[in-house]
Amino acid sequence: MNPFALHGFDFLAFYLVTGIAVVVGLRLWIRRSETDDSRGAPNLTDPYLIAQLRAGPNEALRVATVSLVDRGLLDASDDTLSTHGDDAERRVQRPIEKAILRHFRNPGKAWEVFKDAGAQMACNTYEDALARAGLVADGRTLAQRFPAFALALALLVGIAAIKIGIALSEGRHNIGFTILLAIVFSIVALAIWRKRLTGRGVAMLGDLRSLFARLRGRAGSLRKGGQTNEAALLAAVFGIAVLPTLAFGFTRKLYPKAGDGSSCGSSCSSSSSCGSSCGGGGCGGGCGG
Amino acid sequence: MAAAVAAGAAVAEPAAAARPDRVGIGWRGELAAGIFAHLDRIDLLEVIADDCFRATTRELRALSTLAAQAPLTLHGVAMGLAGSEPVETRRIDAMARLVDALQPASWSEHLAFVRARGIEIGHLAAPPRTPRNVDAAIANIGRATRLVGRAPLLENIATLIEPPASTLDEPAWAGAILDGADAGLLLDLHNLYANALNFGEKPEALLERFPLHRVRAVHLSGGRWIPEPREETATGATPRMRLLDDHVHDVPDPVFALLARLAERAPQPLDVILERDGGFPDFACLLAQLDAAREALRTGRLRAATTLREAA
Repeated sequence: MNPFALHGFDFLAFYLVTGIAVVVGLRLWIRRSETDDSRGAPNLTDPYLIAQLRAGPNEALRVATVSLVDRGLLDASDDTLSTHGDDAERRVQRPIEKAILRHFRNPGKAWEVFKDAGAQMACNTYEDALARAGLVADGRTLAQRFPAFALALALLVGIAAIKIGIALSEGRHNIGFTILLAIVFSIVALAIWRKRLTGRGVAMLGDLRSLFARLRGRAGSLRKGGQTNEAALLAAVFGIAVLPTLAFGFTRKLYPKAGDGSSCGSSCSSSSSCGSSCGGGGCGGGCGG
Repeated sequence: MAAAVAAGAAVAEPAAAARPDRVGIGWRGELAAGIFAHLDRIDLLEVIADDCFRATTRELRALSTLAAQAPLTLHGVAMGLAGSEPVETRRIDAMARLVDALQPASWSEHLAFVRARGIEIGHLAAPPRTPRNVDAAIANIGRATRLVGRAPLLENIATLIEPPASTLDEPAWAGAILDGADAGLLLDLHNLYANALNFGEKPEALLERFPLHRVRAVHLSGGRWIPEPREETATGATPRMRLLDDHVHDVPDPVFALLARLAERAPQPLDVILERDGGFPDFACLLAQLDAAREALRTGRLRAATTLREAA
């Protein structure tokens, strides 16, 4: 069967199926070619690194800000944040936290820190670390993806161009949908080529979600002012919306959009006995005997 | 005994120098954030193997990611190696697949029986401690070792009743199995502590009777006092209290003292795991127990070094 002999809806159906197969194939090829973990595992003890992996620099800043408020180093009043001078900065180690505290020496809206040069520099450090670990795409990754992307684009545009040429030579001008589909598929292929997370990054994020799944179930038991990084890590893996409303209600005021996702909230029950831990599904259950 | 310990010290000293004691915690999903946030204070993690036998590829990959953060050990709970019946091959195969996938530092199981003639007890039960049972356990452990590719560490269990028809006491029975199977001992110090108190023996004395040169790993946990089973209570008498190992309470101080004693008597490197299955406290509380375990190990090692110096 010569697909270029097809006309009208028949050709569009062929092109639609071909286009979907090409972009899905491109995505799968990229994901599989980027799962190599020979670069070693990154240090996953830093919640801001995980937050940046999941949703970029602004998310790292959001989680860091929430953690600083939780630890009493930042004061939150509605959507405004402020701190009390140098003392708070001396009590933190991470550059991202220092940058946020420095920014809010002068009270300001929570989102304004996204534009702070010092904060952005701290986030750039995380981005470099993620790229070095092969979790987010850098210039080298894009170059490695390019041959597959170029092949996919050549197929998508080439098939459409040949068909359009044939149609025009035969005096038919019903080529609008073909052009539209070619543009849509090309944009999708471009997005896949430029996708921020590598296959390894997607896998790492999935691993973290799997490992933290049980903790998410008892997120409601998290208390404000915790001395450990539990809340920050949970927010890093699932987003700040997962933090319980009762203890972390300030997140909704600071970041109404990010903090308003479908949250487990404070109504989630927590497992507090051996009986409820034993025999649960998935890895990470309890009762070692 | 002193000579045996000294000889053990001479054999195990190079190993001790090669690898220090390690202190870790049982991996529980509920503790994930606390564990990840404090991996600098956690030397190794113990994963319950039975929870992962049906793990998807994705879940296994997640465990591999975990293993990249800290050394893993696998702990089985339902194989029933000390049963008199042969363990089903599929159960050993499941462990073998998991060991193959995760390449843990070690794998372990209980010296317990959990089923008979296909009926699951739903509990880690102490079998009658007889020479016949020793032979059956050695055969089971031998099969498991062959199929998995390495020998398990075998854990002593807690029991509220003395197994009927026993002709051996627990240390002699466990020692015979460990010698016969040439396997290491995962010594659960709270199980030992509970058994000693429940059956009127001094915990330190019971510890000394175990084959301490075979200890490779240690479990620490807590428990609570419960009235003894009703049928054992004489009519009208106030029921005696018995210590139940429940893993939902903090490790009591006497168990840390036992760990110090063990570190003094067993010169080989030890992997110590804190078990907590529920009633999860602030993670800071668990970290304090890990620190207490390290301190107990340090105390025991110092005492041993002092004894050796004095003997020299």
